[in-house]
Amino acid sequence: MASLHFDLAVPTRSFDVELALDVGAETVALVGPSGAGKTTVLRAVAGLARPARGSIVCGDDVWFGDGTDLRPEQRSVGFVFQEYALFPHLTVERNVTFAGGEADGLLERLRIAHLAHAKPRDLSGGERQRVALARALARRPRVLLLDEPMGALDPHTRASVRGELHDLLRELRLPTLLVTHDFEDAAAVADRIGVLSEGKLRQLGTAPDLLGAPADEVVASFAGANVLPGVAARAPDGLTVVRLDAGATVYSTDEALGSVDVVLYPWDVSLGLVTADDSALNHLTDEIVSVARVGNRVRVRLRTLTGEITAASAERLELEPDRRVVASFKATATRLLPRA
Amino acid sequence: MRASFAAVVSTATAIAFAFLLLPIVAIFLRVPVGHLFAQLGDRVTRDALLVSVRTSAIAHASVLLVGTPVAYLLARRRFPGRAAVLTLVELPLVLPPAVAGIALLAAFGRFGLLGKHLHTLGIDVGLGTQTAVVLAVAFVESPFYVRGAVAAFEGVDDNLLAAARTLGAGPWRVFLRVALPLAAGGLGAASALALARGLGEFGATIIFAGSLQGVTQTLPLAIYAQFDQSFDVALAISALFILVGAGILIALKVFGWLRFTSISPFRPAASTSS
Repeated sequence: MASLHFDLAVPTRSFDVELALDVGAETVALVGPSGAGKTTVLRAVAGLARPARGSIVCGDDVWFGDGTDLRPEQRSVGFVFQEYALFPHLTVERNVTFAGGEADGLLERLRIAHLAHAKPRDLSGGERQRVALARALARRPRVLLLDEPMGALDPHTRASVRGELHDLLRELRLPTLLVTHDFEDAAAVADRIGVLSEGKLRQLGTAPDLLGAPADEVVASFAGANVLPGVAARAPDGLTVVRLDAGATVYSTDEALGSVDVVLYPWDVSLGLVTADDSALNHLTDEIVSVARVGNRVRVRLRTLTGEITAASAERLELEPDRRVVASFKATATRLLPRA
Repeated sequence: MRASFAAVVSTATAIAFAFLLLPIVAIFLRVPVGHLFAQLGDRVTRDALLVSVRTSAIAHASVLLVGTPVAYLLARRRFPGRAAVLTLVELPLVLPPAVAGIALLAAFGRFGLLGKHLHTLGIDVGLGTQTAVVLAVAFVESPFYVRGAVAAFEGVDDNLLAAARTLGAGPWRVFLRVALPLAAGGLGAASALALARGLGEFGATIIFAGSLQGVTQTLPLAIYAQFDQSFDVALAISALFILVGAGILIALKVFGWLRFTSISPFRPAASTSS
């Protein structure tokens, strides 16, 4: 069975990237803010960056460690670079066959056969991405490394490309490392997600793991949650009350005392024009900063937090910047993370 | 205020334009053009043309052959002493050609540092040999090529070279299939500029190689030799240079245009301007 194991320490300008992972026939996404060392991990696995110590083993072959350090051309990796790094002077077909072999099957499979004789500059973002994938796969690699494969795409293309990439990776069943700064991309495409920050792995798990039980505030904010700092104190009925630094008060069923971050997912927030008489304990009156449509949903940013509701609801409520709305969420929807 | 500024700018432009154009026009107007080019059949001119073409071709080929890998190394690798090497490569650029001639004499002349050992082996590369012309031309034109070539290789996106390596290409293939074609525009421009400088080489050649008709007398040396004997011949050779120079400048523009159309985004060169 194909597998990739590595345990690395790679020095960068500001910190050492330290990461150990076992990747089976699955896709592991590395997410995190820019400069977290995600790309460095890919480059080290490909042999383009030299680790200070550690090991990289693919199947039974040692790529790095114990005095071995294979050159990039000796490792069997398919690398999709940020912005794709297609050879601008070669046609699509010659880009794909650069590593040798036949392009036909791959071009068909990725639906770019009709572009065989086009140059990269004449392609759309989505087409370039498929060419980059075809080129990376042409060498029949044993490991696939994808650096922001959807970073250069517009939001529309992105949604459909996510689905395609997901299906392709399932079919290939190659150990795959995917770097992205977008948690939603990672959740849509990967089997497991590792959150990287300043070169260290904060948490590794499935998307629901990270969303439901984030290990710390970096993971929580990356999983798309609101992270609201405040001070927690005991409240009646076994609840905790948090006075947010931003001013409002939030009730939570989690137990905590002192400085905390309240973690709240946008889709657990409902918005209304008046305070609803329902079971939710938390009602914050706040001003809308921006309204952004994401497919059939709308992300509404308020001064203190962000909520996500259906586009239909947003239209019905006529939400727009500067309007005051009431954000409601249940005490059970909040997670409290003690702050270090 | 604005009107007077415009007047100053246009006057300056007109003066500069006339100053640069007048001598060039003068060469072609002094004697009829037909008569001018008939002078190129002159014995001295023909000999000088042959010497120039031969020595320039050999010198230029050597500069391309050695300078291209040097430029690739300087552009792609960061190593201690890189700045010192870059400075050394560019030094002939700021030396007076006469100094270059003296330096070459001190190194390769019959009594020179290396020359005296070559002499005992029966190899003479100094005064009166065509090898001396080749050395002088190569010495003087090489920085023009290497500087431009370093900039051209620096302009090639690192990720393209990295991509080639992950696709199984060894260093030779990366160089020949990716770096070289992508730098071709810049290399061509640098090559044209260096060739022009080499063809016009005068000072280092006359000091190091001498001016021997048919052996070391290149076209610029022939102009110098002829201008008090047969001014028309000097004029004719000068006219030839103007045409060749104009041709090279046009080639440069075309290379520049190719560079911008064939190579897409990519960061600008870091250490040198072309």
